[in-house]
Amino acid sequence: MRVGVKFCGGCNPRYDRSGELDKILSHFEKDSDAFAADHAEKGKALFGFAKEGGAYDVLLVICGCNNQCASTDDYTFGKKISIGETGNIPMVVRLITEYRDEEAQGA
Amino acid sequence: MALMTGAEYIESLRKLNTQVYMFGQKIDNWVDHPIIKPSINCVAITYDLAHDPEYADLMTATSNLTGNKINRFSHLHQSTDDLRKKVKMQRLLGQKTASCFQRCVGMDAFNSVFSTTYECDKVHGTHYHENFKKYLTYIQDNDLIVDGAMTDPKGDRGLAQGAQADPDLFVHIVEKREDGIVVRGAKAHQTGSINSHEHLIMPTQAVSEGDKKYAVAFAIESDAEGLFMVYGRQSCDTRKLEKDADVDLGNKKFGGQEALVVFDDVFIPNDRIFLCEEYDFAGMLVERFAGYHRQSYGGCKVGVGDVLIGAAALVADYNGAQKASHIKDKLIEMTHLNETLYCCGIACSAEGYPTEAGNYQIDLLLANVCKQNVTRFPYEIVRLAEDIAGGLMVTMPSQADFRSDLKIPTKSDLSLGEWTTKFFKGVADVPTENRMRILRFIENIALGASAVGYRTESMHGAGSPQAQRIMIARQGNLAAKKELAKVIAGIVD
Repeated sequence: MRVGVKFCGGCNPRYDRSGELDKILSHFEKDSDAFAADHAEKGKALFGFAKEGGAYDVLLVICGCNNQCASTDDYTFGKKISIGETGNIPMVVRLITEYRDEEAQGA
Repeated sequence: MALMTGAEYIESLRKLNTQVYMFGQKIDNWVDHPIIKPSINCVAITYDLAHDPEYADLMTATSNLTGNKINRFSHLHQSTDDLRKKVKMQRLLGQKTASCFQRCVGMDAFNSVFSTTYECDKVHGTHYHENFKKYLTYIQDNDLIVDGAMTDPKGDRGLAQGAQADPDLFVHIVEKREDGIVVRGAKAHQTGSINSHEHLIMPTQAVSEGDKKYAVAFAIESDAEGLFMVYGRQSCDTRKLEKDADVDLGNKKFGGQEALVVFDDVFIPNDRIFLCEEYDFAGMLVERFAGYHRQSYGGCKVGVGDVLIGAAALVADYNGAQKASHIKDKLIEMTHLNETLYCCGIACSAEGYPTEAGNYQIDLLLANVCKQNVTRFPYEIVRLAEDIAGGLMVTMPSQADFRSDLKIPTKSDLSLGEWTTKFFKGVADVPTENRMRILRFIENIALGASAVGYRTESMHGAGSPQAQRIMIARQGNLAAKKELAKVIAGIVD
């Protein structure tokens, strides 16, 4: 499963967005030890920065505030997870795990 | 061509033959000159952040002219969302540089020339809009920096362009040829002009029919024949020439830049002309550029303010004063003022609207209110920063003293560095140098080289305070407000 990571522009972030990403990634270390996924692998959540025109199973949008102004028009994606404040890591991990496992089971 | 990196931008400047003068001399290698270099670094970061996934959402946009990904600074605003993202991008860059990053004037010129040429062509049957679209496509495709240049020297402020004792005090047409025009004059206070690849020249004020030779807009390469620039010196600028200059600079890497740009009979080919004696559109172009640029200040100065507020809070920590209630209250006041400016920048963007040409224009009244606040609030913010910092900001010894091994022949046999480090320590667990660094940073913004951008540019950049008050009077809808009062008060005329 490909997870594309998209940041907002970061004009006045209320928390460390890249630090938050690192914490999320730490929950999926067994899936992939490299943050540069450009392919999908069933049963694994492979992360990489979302590229313009790219297609992703999940688009993870990390915004610095709850305005969540990041544009996602340049991507195609199955599911989108968007966060605008810190403290959402358990929710993000749970959702990505669910999506990964659903995909592995052919759901 | 793909978006340039900062390093590629700096290399591209080396290929230019821009004529630069400073301190009475011609500066051949201006790209590496220690006084100019910080301003080039500022522009370079506008390129680098466009490649960074953490900032690309603000720093890039999709061109409506080509469909390609471009730097947002070369973008024609296609929505109120674009207008808001412009302000957010400017705040971000103010935070990253604590300086004027100089690229906004070009963006604001693009958007105002785009819409004005469209409307001018409709009335006069000219072809400026197509000229400009081709020009902007070239700029976008090559990811170039353009100095949007408006302000003429202006001479006697009580006289119109043509009535000046010296006709060159406003840029004007001196010759019309079949293949183009020849222009003469100068633009003063030009932000980022030296490190721009190109210049986009606009009239500085409305023009009457009798002065129509002053109604001229055009683009020109920065190293064109007959064009030269004189660097504007800044407070404390020669500190950058000192050996191992670091702490005393306050902001070693970044800074702003202004220059006088002189046109001594410069030829402009037809395809780079965007206004040529259509005097009835000079005022529109000025008003639109000023509106966009007054919006800009609701972003860039806020970003610099963010860093200054952080510095004030840090120095309070280093001084051991952070728990004092008046310090906390002053930091709240600084934040309140700063965010009020941001509110204005966002508000005039949110209330934007499409022009006839299709790009989006800000709300003029709110943009002028924004800039009017910018003529005041940064002064109060910096006053509070100075208040929190304490007098040491302007009385402490130099970096050379703090780092000196020179033994002082007294009983303790300590070096000059040891003595100064000992006596200028604040709280015990913070190195004296950290305290010096943050104080020098505040000094830099309050009265050093960056005061040009944070203080006086806040006052006069994008128009002096009275210019905004004139626009507020025009846009304030006073007649409707009188009617509201009459209805409530039961007045029937």
